[in-house]
Amino acid sequence: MSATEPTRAARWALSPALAGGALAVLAAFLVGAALIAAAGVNPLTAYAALFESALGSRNGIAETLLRTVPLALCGLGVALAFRSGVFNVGAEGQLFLGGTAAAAVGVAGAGWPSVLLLPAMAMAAMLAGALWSGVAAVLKLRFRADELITTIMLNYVAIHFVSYLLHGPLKDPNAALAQTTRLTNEARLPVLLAGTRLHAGILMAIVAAALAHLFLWKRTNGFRLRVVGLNPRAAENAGMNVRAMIVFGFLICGALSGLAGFAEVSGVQRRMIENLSPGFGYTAIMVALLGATSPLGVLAAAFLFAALQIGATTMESAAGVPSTLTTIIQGLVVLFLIGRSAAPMLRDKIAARRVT
Amino acid sequence: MFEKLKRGIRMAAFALPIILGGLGGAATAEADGLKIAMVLPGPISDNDWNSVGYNGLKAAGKTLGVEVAYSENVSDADSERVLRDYASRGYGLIFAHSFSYGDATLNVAKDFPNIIFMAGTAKELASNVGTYSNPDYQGAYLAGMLGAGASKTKTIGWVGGMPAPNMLANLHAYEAGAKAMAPNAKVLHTFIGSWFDPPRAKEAAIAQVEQGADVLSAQGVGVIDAAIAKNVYALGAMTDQNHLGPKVVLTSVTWDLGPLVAAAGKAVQDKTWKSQNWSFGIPEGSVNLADFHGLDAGVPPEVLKAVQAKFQAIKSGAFTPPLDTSNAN
Repeated sequence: MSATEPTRAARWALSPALAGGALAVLAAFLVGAALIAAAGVNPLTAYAALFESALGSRNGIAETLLRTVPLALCGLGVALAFRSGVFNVGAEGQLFLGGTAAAAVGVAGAGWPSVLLLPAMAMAAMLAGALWSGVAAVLKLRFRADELITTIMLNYVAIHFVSYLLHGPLKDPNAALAQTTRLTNEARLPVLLAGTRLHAGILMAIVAAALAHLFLWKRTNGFRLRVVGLNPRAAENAGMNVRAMIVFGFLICGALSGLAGFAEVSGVQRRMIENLSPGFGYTAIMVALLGATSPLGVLAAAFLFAALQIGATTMESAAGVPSTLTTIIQGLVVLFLIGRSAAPMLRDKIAARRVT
Repeated sequence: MFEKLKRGIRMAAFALPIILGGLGGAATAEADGLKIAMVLPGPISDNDWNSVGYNGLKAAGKTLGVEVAYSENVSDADSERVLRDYASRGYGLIFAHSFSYGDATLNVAKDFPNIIFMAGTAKELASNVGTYSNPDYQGAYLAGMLGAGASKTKTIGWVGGMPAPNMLANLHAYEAGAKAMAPNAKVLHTFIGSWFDPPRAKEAAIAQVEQGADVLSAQGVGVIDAAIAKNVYALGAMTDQNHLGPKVVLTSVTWDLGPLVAAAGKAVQDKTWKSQNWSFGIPEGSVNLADFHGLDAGVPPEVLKAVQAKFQAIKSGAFTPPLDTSNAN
């Protein structure tokens, strides 16, 4: 590597999308600091409490990594869908269905050894998520229904359907709450760090990100996916099967979100419950945007948002800053990201007006 | 419809006033010893279950002079993380203030054997997990008597969240009280299937009024709004809810958790704490009927007298209201 040629890693870090993301995060934290100060608390104290709790202890790190799992898996799905030009915001519903399918298989297969049961649960979850996402694909390709609308609508259908299942056919007969029977030990993802809740799902997320990275940048189909997303007409003219890539974008998003549901059910809750997700599927959209739809960027963004969410509770009770502040910071990150692309757009518009 | 998405995209403008309002999340005290935490499923400002928990925690913190902290609006899915966080930060006594946190509490308690957990209305206990019940069914019996006595149609309503044991106990005692006052009284009941869904509770209550109910037991937020809209009496629950409907909230069955939290904290300090069901009701002075705020003028005096006499009988132990947690149809 010559001195003038930056290393691969440096080039990656310097890529405008990632630098933009870092800037957006920094700006969001600065505005957040102003808000904390307005509430009469020292921003440094609040941020210290936040990161101390999220990253300052063994349990904190475990919890942050634990929350990274669903955010990263859903985020990867959403990012790959974005890459194919599909704005799939249905990860939340796909996660719920995936979790339900995993729990149903886990309960039905009680007594099987882990090596059979866990893959069966994961497959069922991915299938359920992909099928649900596939509904939106059919609606788009067949009826030209905008997936931005259909996937949101399908989220509600999915969550209410899951609620029906948990109150009805899948309900634990011995519980007053709407939930499935508790999973047996064989149906649980193993814990990685004793004394914490961190389970093997984090490895799944890392492997998924690595595979997605290789797929996008080392595989012909990954190239096709990107071309279809950037310019479907050019892809069509180049003889690519545009529809197939779009369908793939839908299915992979559903499968990965379903897998996130499996991780939550098998690794964290040990049963399917109502309100399984506090909006992982929606936060995943922000994660995908912040990660500039690059799989490794998504992984990093998921970790950051996970740390923010984990630290929020402690910041609230230790520094007296409402946990909603982190919600604001997450929102600001996205606003700044969008704002960044708005600036050149505005500039071009003004320039165009001057010319005419 | 788009609420979930909104929550996902998180409008900064929406949350800004909350920040500027400067909600405090912590109360600090000087003592270095015991610290008590409480995890709550809903907002502490609900004048209901969560307000009772928060007020009790605050009062006990003052009584014992210990540091207290709380987390509100914690979903079931998130409860284990929050409980674990408090346990790992040295809180010696942790209240899991929801029936639905039972599983999570047991999981965390296993990893923190030296920390005492109190799981509200839990079914399964462990050596370091006790429970506390909400014996407001004792008050519900009085509310049933009062409601049936005040009702002109002899039909009274009851709207609650989910058929958890404490809610069932409340309902059955309410029914028993109503029947004791007026044997021909009819009690309508609805479980709305959620602990917090004001529009749904309101609709359910309105439906009961349309079936003839003219007194409603408000076991959830929204029922009092229906009572105001339909101009019928409501019986508040948990805190004195008269301010929510000054012309319709006859009285409220209040629950003061302070003595229980303080007693549990004291027991932990003295190392006399035992895993058991802690129950502080009318005899312990924790469950009461709130002030009528002048509305008792609309109730026949003999009804008020009978309710008052029954309250005294429960307090002295001469009468025990029936505790029945069987399912309601």
